[in-house]
Amino acid sequence: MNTSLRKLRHLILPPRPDPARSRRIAEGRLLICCLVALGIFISIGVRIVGLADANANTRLANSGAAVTAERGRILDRKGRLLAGNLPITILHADPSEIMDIQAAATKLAPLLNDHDQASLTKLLSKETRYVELDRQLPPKRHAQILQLGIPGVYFAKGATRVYPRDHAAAHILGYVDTDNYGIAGIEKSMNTKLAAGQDVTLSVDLGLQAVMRREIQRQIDSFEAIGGAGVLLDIQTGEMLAVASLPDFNPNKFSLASDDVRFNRATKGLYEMGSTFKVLNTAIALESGAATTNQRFEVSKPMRISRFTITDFHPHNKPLNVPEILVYSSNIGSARMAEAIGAQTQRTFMDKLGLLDRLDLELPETSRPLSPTRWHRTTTVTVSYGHGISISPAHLASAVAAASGNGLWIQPTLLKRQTGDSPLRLRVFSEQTARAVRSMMRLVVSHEDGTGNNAEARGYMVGGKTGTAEKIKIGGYNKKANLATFVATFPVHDPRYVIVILVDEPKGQKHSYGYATAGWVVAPAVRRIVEQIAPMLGVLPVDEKSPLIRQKLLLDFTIGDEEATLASY
Amino acid sequence: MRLILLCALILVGLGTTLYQVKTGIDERQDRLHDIELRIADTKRDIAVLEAEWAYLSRSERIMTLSGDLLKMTPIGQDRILPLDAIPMRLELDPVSIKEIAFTAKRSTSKDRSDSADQPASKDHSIRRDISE
Repeated sequence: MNTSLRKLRHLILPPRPDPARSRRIAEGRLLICCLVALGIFISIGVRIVGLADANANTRLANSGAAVTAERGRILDRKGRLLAGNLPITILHADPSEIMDIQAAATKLAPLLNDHDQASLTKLLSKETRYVELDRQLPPKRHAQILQLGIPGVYFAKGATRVYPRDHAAAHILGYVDTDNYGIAGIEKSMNTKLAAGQDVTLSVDLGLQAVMRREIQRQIDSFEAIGGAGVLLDIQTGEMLAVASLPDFNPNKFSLASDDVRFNRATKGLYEMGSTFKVLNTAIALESGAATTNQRFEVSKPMRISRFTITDFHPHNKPLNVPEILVYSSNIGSARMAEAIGAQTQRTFMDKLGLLDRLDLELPETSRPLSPTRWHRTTTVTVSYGHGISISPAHLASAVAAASGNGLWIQPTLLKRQTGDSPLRLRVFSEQTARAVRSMMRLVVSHEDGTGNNAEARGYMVGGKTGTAEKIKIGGYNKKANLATFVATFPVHDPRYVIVILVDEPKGQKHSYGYATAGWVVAPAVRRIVEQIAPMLGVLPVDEKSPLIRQKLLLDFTIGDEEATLASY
Repeated sequence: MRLILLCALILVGLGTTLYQVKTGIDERQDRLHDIELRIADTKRDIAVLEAEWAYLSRSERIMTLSGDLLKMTPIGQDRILPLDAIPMRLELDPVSIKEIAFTAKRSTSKDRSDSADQPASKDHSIRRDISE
């Protein structure tokens, strides 16, 4: 039996190996099993750790996304908010998830401002996954819509740009489109920086800005003018401390403003500045050696140049010296000085003063001045009293800052200068010339025959120059439309600030005895502005007669018959 | 065999620690997330308040209010003086101050001792007089 079984086994199975070999095989199999089991467990372990880690990563990523960069704010030089962001709730819907469009539209329509039932039905029937129903949902409506419980209606958090100070500095700030992309003003020019979440600090001081805006507005109202502009420039740094353009608008609702209102008259508007240019003409004449302060020019007869006849508002029957030409604002005298200067020299100085090029400001709204391509004799003469060349008020401010300050032309800016900034400075006039020019500008205001008497802010040593120019119309000048300008520098003994104020098309009034000249329209505004801003700027009133002040000015001018000492008025 | 047991124990220990660390991280992350949300909310509130403050402190509004309600007008140049122009008090050295104070004290303490039973000590009243 046993042997037969063994035989059978031999038939089916191979012969039994020897015990030693069989043990080795068994051990080998066991080892393989162990390794496989170990491998499985290790892979499970690795997977567990991996899963835990991956989870953390997604969570971290989510929390990071919650704090997205908001558009940077715009601040004034003292850190006051000019443009910021307000959180809003955006209501949107996924039409494909809304089951009963009719019912949803009926329920939602009374809670939305921009839609009625019909337009809502149409919107919700669209073949899309996203429709925006309301961009600025008030919290109360938000709660009410939540209560309705309509599926497929969602809320998203967003931010909207706000300009909390309404009209103040609207033209400088500009505005953004619905995607928070700057499309005008600083919002446009600084868009990259703002979009990256960085704040922008302007050189503008809101307090000064408000005073300037109010005083210009007052003159516009009382002289029925169509507009106005003002620039306050820091001579030392080139910072623009106030820039006003009137009429202005509310940047929160800029779409309601007309193009004329949105137009920045202070930086983009080009005007023939009239007699204010005589300041520059005087400075150029002194600097180029074409005239000395005591040199006299013949002004008794009107001057004819090609088809132009140059006359004076108040004719003088004796030759005038340089300070007198400025104080009496003699066109003939300025023209004669310009002829002595020569076309080439005049043009070179205009170029150095930046009056032939677009002002390099941090604003998209700038213009290239309108200047003659060929500088004829007529050009030279008309430019001397501010005709034949159209520039912006900002141009005028920076040029006069050079002529009446320390002789340096400084790159103007709308951004606050940081410590260590070294703005572009070019020497255009010597300090001696600038000192003479501002002493003469002081006489325009302080001398009893000066055209700028109304700008006298006692104690603050205002120097200035009036300019009343007829506006250009097609084919000539409009005798009825004036542009009244005043450029002032103060305090003249230690020049720090330049103000340019411009009032567009003032009409003569009873209270001004029918006059609509700069001396009547703009000079009083300059006086009030200086009186209000000087304490804000830390400029202390001084006694003009004190020797300390007198020694800082040039005093040996002859005005009229007597020697005009600046301090005697 | 003992080695395997030891390894198993260590593995169990490691596993438990890993689990605890993981749940701990989860908890902390939730807390972090909460805090971040709160920060975002607070920032949003601050933005609203800042805007509101800026709106209410508009120069035009302040000028109108101060004019209408407080009758304030721009300050005149005759009312502004540099600090140096204001005459300062007579400057005295500490010894003479003490003398002045002492004589003053003698006259006043006489009056006081008439009415009060216990006059203050000398030193004390001098100091008081100086400070007054």
